[in-house]
Amino acid sequence: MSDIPADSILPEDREPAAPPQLAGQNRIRLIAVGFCAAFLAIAIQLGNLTLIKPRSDQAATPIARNDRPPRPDIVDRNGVLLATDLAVASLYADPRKIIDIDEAVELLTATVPDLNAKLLRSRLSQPGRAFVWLKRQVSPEERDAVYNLGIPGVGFVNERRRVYPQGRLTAHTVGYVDLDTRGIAGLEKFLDDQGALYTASLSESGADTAAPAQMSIDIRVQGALHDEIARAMEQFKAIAGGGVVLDIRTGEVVALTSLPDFNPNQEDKNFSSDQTNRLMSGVYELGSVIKAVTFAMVLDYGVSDFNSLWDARLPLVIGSARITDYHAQRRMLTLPEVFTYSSNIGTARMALATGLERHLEFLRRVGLFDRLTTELPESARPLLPRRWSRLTEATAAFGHGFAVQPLQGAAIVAGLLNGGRLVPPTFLKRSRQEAETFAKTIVKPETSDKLRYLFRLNVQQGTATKADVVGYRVGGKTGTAEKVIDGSYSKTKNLSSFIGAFPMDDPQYLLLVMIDEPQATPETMGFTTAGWNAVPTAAKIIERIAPMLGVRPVLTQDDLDKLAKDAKARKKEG
Amino acid sequence: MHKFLNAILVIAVLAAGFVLYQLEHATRGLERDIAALQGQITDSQEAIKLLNAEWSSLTRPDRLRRLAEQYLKLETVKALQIVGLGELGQKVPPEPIIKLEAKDQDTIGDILKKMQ
Repeated sequence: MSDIPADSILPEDREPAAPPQLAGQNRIRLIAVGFCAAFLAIAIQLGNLTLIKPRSDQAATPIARNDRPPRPDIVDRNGVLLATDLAVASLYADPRKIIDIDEAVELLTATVPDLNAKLLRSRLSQPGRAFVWLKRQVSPEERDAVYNLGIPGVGFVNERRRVYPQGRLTAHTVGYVDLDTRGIAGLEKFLDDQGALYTASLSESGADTAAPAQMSIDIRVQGALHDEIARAMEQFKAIAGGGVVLDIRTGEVVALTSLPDFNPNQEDKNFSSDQTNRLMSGVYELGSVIKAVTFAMVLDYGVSDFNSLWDARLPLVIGSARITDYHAQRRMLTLPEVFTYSSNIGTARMALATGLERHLEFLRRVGLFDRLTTELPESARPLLPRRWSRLTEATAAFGHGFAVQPLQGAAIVAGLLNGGRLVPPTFLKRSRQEAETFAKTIVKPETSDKLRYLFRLNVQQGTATKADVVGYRVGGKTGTAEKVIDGSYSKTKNLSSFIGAFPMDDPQYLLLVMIDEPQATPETMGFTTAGWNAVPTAAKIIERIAPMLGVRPVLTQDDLDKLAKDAKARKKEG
Repeated sequence: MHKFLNAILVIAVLAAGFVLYQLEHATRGLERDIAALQGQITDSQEAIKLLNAEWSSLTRPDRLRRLAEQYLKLETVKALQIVGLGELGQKVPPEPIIKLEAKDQDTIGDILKKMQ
């Protein structure tokens, strides 16, 4: 065997260096290469993640609860909290997991008294459902109590609840949200709808909280306005009342009250139409506002100056209608007298002298044909005469048949007094420069000066003398509109209003007060006209809010004499 | 030779594993701390919100007015009572209610003693 040549065994083995070839060796090699590649990839990625790329700091932050941006708090112009989110728990059940429905119902109703046993049973008896709400927004004590019951299939979801610490004071302006914290009224609705961009601008991307939305409201002024209007309603047994304070130069609504109101924190939000925001969702015939517009028109067109005389000797007869005066003077009146005696005849004659075309042109210019829109959802279109005849022109001059959203009226008068620059009102804080970009010139500055003089004169010696708060140079116009009941004007039911501004040498703030159906009282000597109810109310409001708003009182010698006289009179009485 | 290398590698693997485990353990501890702190921060933020809401509710102007009318003898500020800084000098009452210049006298202390 040994001399058999080596090369005779197998031809393949004759290559000396070649290792023995096993079946499938190439496949193994391929697999090895594959493994190497895979491990290399893992190693590279590992090195990349651990050594090269720094770990982000975000890893530990909790995942946001929902996709919607966080709801911002709402604060007033000085930063006082008006609306905020609080964490609350809501009770839910998974009916599939509940073992003993009777026991669960019994235990739950015993722990949470306001759960309805019947309703609860029907909700839990739905084995097909995986989720039913039992009670939204339970108190912390109730939550702990239910936890301790340990019923399987009952659990909690952490939710946010919107609260309004100022309660009634902000009911109409801030508005409220529904149970799922979607805004359904007031500024809350604005933040969800048209104001979504504004809301987004408050929150940084990815942040869990947002900067608060700052309103133009000053809660102290709001409190004073609300308080005085409520007192006036009680005193004059009125069915409703309202008031608004505007910053004349920026158009900011500093306070807005409409009574009766409601508490936005209450759970049942089925409010009646009586509780709506009367200053924006309703239109009223505000004689005070419309007369001011008519005077501005006459002065701006140069139809009349202060010295021209207007015939108020006899009632004005147009067709079958007669226009009469409440404070009838039966003589020729100068323009300031027409204003201070609030003469319907004089005002109607002035409008007729202006001519229908120019009259309509002026009303359009001040915006009385357009619907006023603000951040709040309520917005009523002005109600104007449908067909303009000579009679409607004459009556529209003093506000009959001419109903307007009170806030819009206030904004227009503010524009007339603000050197003729009309600024659209806003509920968000706004600077004077910003306001200037929105402003629109409606009358000449000289007309505005004359109107300021007339407003001040009317408080010094006209229908609004009770509004003369010492030191604050108040100017204003009263209006007593007969209410339309069943299509005709009522002789007994009035809507009395006062629109005024202070300080009149440089108007800064405008106040509108309206009282719906005031009754005569002994103090008003049996009168129900604005001079006896809306005007004294306005005086009380101005006395309270002027120091808050930083209006500096100026006391003339006359004022000091008057104060001394009052003090003496009081001493005699006392 | 091979055995020696293998032994070193095994020891290295064990050591690396130990260090890795230590690091992992420390990291988990830190993450737990972070979560706990985050929870505390959230709780504090919620508490601040609640307190802010309560503060705002307690300082409602209508509530303050009602309390002031009940417990204090205060009235609405009259225009006559507001004085500019420039005129302040003329408005100082001739006889201060509490004589600050009087020495060896503890005026406020006396008032407190009287109250007791």
